[in-house]
Amino acid sequence: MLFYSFFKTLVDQTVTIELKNDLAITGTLVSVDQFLNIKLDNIKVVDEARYPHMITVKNCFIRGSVVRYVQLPSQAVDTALLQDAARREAAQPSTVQQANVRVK
Amino acid sequence: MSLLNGFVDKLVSVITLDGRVLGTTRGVDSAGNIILEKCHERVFSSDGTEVVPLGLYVIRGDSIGIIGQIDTDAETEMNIEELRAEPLPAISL
Amino acid sequence: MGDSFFGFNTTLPRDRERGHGEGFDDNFFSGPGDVNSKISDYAARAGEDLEIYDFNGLRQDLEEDDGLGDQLVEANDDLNDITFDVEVSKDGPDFDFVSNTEDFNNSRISENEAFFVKPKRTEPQQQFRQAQPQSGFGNYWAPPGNNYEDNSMNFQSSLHRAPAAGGRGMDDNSPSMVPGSIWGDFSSPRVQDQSYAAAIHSQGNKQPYLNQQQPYGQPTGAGHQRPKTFEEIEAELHRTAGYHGQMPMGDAQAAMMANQGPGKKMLTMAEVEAALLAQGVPPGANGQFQQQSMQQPPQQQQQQQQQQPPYGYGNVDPAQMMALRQQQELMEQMSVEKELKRREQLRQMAEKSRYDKLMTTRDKDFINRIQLQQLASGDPFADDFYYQVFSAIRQRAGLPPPGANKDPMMEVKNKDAGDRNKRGNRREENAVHKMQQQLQRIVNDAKRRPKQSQLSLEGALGKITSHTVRNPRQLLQVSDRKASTQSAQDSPELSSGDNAPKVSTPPRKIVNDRKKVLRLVEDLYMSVLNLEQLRRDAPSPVARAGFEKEHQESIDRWNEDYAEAINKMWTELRIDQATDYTQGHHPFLSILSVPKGKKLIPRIARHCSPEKIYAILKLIVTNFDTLKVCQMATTNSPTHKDQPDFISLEDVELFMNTVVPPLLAYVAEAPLSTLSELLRLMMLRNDVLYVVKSKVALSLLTMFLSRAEILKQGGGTLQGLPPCSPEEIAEWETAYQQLYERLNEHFLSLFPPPVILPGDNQAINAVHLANNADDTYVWQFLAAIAVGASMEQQHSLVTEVRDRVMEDIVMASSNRLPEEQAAHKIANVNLFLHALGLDASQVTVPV
Repeated sequence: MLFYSFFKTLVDQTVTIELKNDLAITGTLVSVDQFLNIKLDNIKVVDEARYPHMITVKNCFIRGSVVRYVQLPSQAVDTALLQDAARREAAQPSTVQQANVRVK
Repeated sequence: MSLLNGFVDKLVSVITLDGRVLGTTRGVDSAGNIILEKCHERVFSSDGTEVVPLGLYVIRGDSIGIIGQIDTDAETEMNIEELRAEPLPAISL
Repeated sequence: MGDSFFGFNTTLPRDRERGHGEGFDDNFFSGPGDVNSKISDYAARAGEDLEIYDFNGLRQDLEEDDGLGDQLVEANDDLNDITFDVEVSKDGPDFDFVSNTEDFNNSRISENEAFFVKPKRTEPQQQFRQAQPQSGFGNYWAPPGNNYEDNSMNFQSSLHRAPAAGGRGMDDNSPSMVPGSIWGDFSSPRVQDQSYAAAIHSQGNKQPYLNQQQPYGQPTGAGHQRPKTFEEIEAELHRTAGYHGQMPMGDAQAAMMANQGPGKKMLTMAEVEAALLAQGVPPGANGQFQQQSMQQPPQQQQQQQQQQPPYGYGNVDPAQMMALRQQQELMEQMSVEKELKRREQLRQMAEKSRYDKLMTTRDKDFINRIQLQQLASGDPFADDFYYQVFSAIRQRAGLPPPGANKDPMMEVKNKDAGDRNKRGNRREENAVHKMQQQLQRIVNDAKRRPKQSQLSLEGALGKITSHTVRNPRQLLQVSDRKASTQSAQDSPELSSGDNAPKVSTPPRKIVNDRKKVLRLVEDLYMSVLNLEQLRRDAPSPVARAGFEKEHQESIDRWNEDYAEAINKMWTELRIDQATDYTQGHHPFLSILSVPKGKKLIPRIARHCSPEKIYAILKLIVTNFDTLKVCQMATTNSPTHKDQPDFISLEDVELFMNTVVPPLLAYVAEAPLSTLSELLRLMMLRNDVLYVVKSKVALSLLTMFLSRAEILKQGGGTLQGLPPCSPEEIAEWETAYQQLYERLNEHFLSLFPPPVILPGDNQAINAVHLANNADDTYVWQFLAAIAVGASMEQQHSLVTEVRDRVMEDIVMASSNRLPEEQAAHKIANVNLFLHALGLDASQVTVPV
């Protein structure tokens, strides 16, 4: 949920999504859901000459599972807060936590 | 999926994990599966794009990579068969 | 072109004038090879398995074998010209049916006369078919030519004449006629397709009426309507009165025709072909086209409208007609594209909306709800911490929260957040409200029953693990060693303090291992986060009416919790723990040795009372020489970066920016006695000469000195402090004198050592030295100490740093430095000189 929460704050920011097939799409983040599926508007494929496949596509849904990287605008990220959020997430008595290795 | 609701009854381009399909979305569900009507597959190659009509499809959510809403104006202006491009690399999860 | 069957030249005057390649393609029939290649070419394009017809052979057949001519009534051939309208070719795309018909009428031929050959009609047609059993053309053209000459004549000319004949004798528009039914008796659909395809091609754009037949298509006729006989057609024609009656039409059509201006063009064959291609239908596939057109009544009507012959032309002489036609052609060319596009869009819209609303709003809401169910939680800070806090921070900064009004999660807890963005109308708000209620219900439900990670289905063997966002599929199974083997008490030095009593139990070991330090810091972070959360959850200061008691209780409870949390944090800070010099550093100083520990200090300080801050300050001051930022700060040089214990400039800066400000804030309000004590402690516990070489220590000292000076001058009264007692002042003076004595004759060593950049030559070094070593804090300190100094002290101080002062002034005025830096240097020097009542401008620079 941390990253869902995180990505929600990036709504309306311009991000670049790198997919697992090396396609990179730049666009305005419209929304994100808990699977980290992403919806972009005004998209542009980064190497359009090489990947003209989506030339007529203006907005798109990207399934979270195919995302490799998301390039973020650094000024829109509060890293200290992100660390705190990660601490809280780690401290949460959830099933995930039980399964994970605890850092000593 | 709620993010997919906006695509219902729209002409979309679906990039599946291994290929690409075009069609009009008719329905979606919470698992991200979609129903596409009047599907075509676009087989990209450096000699031009081949359009293979497919019909009515249900695409399982986990084989979907991207769903893009198509700008119909741009689509009618463009002759897809003349689009020359290497096929998109497959997405390996 | 060979002679026609009837002996007149079938080449149209227009065609003769224009030559080849324009209008009707004369070339088409010019040679067998040509024809074959064209047809096969077409066949390839149309994707049809088209038989190749030998048109030359065909023509020969017609001329030599059939002998149909002998059976024809040759009388009244002189009327052929009128019948077929040889002189004025009107079978172009703009065929003028009106004037054409008027010509016909002017010739005073009754309809009976026009169809004079009726009784003999059938026979030759059959013969023709027998003679040309394979000819698609023959079959195709047989029906429209209800003037039977058409059938028997050279079919080549029939191609030319067909429109004329059709325009007059045939009703090519009326649905009631259903042209398809006329040739519904075709033996093989394949032949029909071929003939159609070939016809389209051979006709080029000269057959305006051909395409009109296509939408009505064959299948309807074949299905439920028996083929119409020519008698019936003719009877209908006779029934209708006048020339208008020749085109019986439905009301809608009539209205459409009435609306049609003379400017309306007919659709040329080329256009129709283009349209067909655009629709992805090969021209030969009329079946498919038929289907589509039947599904789209509006579209069909529109096509019809386009295909109506121009209406209302008067008698126009050929020249005018020509000009008009050219104009029309121009207009056509311009509008065709636009029209086609519009029609295509209409068609697509109709196509797309066919199954619209299969998913109702309810369906979509349902899916939304399923998803929200997973997201919903009673405490947004638990699962949505980053978003909530980030939004809060942004709001404080006066910015709109990210993605405002887009996230239904927000509205669960922050109902006012939803109200904040009141852009929607009431209905929208209603929907939002509904959604909120729904979510609230979902949240409550979820709270009631524990989250299940497994479920057993009836009839299933074993349990099915349900994977959700919160419970993803486990890829690694690592047992939590600590939880299983050790209790938290077994490792007190690692315990986060959950079980620690309020009075700290000193850990057995001093934490010096880096990992342990990090662990310590992490635990502190958790405490601080907990504190911050408590702060956020603080009950509102204003009680609700009637609940004052409960409110007071909740406030008390909160205060208790808060105090407890602070104590817990304080324990973890280990400030009160005595420094065990035999073991190494004080644990608190270890915390300060890591960057994230430093970053934590301001957040801790926010929850600390002044006493606690004083304790921290005291601890730092007493242990200055073991503080890492002090230890190595004296040798800060980029060349030493590889040394493990080296404290980089960034580290010092971080310390200055994080740890020092809360301390300074405390000092700025401290009474003089405190300052004296701090100063004494510093000198007592540390090697002052070593410590003051660090920026941190010097800055703190500066703060002490200037604060003391302010208090001595009575500035403390502004803060509500009592005026300094003489004892206090005396105490401070003692401490000050001590400090001065220690530092005397060492003031120059306070300046940071020159930064040596490896590989740089000397000339550059001088500049670098000036650039890199910012010694403002030293000048500040000198100024602070000068203010409190006696006259003799001031004198010795000036004597000591005189060279440095001169050096800086000379360098600033030597034009070797950029203006900005020069000004900076002068300002620094002035800091000190002003304290002495001097100014840099008074210093004469030796030239």
